[in-house]
Amino acid sequence: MAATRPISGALAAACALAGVSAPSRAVEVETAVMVYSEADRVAALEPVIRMTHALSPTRTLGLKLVLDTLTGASPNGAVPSTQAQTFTRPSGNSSYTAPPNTTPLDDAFSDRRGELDLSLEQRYGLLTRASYGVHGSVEQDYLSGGASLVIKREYDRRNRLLTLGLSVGFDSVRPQGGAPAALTEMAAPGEGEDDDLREDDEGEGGGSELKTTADLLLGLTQIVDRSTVLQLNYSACRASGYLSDPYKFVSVVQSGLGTAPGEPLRQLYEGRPDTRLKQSLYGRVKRHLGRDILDLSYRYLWDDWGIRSQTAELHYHLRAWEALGIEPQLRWYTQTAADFYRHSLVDGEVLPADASADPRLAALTAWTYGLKLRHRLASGHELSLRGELYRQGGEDHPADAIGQLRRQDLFPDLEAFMIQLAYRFDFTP
Amino acid sequence: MREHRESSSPSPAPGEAPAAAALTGERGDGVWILRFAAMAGPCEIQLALADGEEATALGRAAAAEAWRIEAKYSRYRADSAVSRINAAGGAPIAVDAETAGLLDLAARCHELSGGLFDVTAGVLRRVWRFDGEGRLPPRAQVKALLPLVGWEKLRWEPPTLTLPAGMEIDLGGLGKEYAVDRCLALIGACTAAPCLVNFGGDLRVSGPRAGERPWRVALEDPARPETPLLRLDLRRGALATSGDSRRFLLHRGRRYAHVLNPHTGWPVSGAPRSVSVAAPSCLEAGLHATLALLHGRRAAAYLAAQGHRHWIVA
Repeated sequence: MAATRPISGALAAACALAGVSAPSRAVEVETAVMVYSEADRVAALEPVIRMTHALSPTRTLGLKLVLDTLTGASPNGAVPSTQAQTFTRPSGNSSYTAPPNTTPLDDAFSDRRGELDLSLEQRYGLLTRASYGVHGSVEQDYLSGGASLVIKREYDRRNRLLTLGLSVGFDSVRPQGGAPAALTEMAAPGEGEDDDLREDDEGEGGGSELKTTADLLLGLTQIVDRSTVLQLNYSACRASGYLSDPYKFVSVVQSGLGTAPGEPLRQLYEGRPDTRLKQSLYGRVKRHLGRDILDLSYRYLWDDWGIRSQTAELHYHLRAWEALGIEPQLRWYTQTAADFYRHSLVDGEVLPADASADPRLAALTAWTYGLKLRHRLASGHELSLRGELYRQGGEDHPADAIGQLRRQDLFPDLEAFMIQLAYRFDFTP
Repeated sequence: MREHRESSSPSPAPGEAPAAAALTGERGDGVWILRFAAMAGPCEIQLALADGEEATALGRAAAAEAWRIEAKYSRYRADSAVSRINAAGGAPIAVDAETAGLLDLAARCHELSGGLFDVTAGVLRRVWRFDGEGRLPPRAQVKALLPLVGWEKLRWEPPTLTLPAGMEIDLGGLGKEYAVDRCLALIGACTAAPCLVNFGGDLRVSGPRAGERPWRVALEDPARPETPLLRLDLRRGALATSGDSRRFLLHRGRRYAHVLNPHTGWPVSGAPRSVSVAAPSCLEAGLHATLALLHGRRAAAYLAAQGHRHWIVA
């Protein structure tokens, strides 16, 4: 027979695992650090802290703080040349040089960003809850703020959940030296203060450009049977205002009639339409296979810039071991190019209304391979490690490339990796 | 992901009153009192809410949850999760997450109690009848059942349970207390109003009533059921009682309690008639009370070591 030893602590822990612990008033904290690195390009370090605290059984406060640092180089949109090329930043008082036959990269790219999100979730009775949120973020040349409202209501013996989400956002970009006018020629060194090249209103001294967004989300989550959950979402996002990237160029190259076809003659600041309407449909199935979970999702997105994208994602949660969860992940992404995407413009052609050579607006296909490990410590705290490898490719040698551009890689493959270490714990204040 | 809720109707078994009629509500002293029958006894929920409609809706949700748990873990229903496990005939059977949670708890209790707490011991009831009469089963009959008793004989590899043919499990010893905790959590997720959930004397409160006032609850006298032994003020946590005055066996002047030692197949000697324990959750309180009885004449020593408030009726 067992000794009459104290077992109440162990028994309380066992009961908590059975899902009946006392309603928690603890503060749940999740801390994470993410490192992102593209080969020879951007590197990012991003610490995140997320806290939730039940103020009452019906009200939960959430807070998220993100600080990230980006450094490195990113393609500036210009095509490679057989000659070295020098680029001037919008301020006109700094420049950088790209070596011959390489994709020009803006290598002084360095930024710090701070973001704060606050949310309050309130339950209204058994079946309805609403979440009210505000968020803001600050960068050297970018300010962003917004508010959101998400309402969720359960139906059909709580087997069906409908979600309505609305949000608005206001962004302000203030590049050094002001935002350049679309498709005007890059300032030559020392020309930066030339107001003729600025789009800003007079007197605002390198003023800021504004962007507003409005989002709508309609969601349906349905429990299909004992082990299957289905989710369908429709979302729409309308953005208007300054949607261009002030640091990106489009090269104008010599036509086939010139002496050096395909050689860049001059660089124009890119210009994008000032509105964008994005819509997407998203479907997801989660199914228990014994203790494991299979999680499959697909998204189709289309916008009035001519981009059609598809994302398919597969996660498999292996839960054979109590203390260790293993989750392999695979994601496939493909998109068509924006209507105004041009790897380069040809000298002599009529200037289009909009043009951008930003590789993010080009046709591309990407695969992401990921693995997440989750370890539950005896204390109930959770440690997780996530790693992802991202590989992206596009059209290296487009059919409409002319002259020397035919020999250049106009869409170098991109490889990036991401590692995130997270620790989740709770404490009672 | 949200837990999947049973799609089968969580209502009383056929022949019992339909769900809507089975719940009654009345206004008490600053609370709404909702009553229904489940887990073989009277169930009561007290909600410090002014709105009777909201209180009734919450009471109905809690009753539905209690009936769901009862239907799922009843040994007497062929379609229950427990009956399916017991009917597997030696084949491995995969269980859902909720059942897995309870089996994990049963495994842990078995381990912590040195094998005294054993959900496979129910087969011993085939020979032991605690009807107050004086017949002891023949020793050989008890001995013949012992090979079918013992948690260590089954294989629990979550979510798969393999029960040797002839063995049975009975989660009834956890069910009522589990239901109290679940119903309180369900109500707590919908309202901040103070609440008391009381299923046949096993109970739990969400917190004190307005103005830090306690809930007044009664401990029953096992010798005289329905008669309060003493009244207690409870501000938080749970209270559960194990022991049943009506279920014993008298043989040659000796009283055998219905608590059976799974190692021997015989009643635990010297067990108190009843033990009540106060603990943060009803499941913990109920398990401590049961484990105390299983400790027989060392029940008091067991309880003293756990550090929870308790009451013993010898």
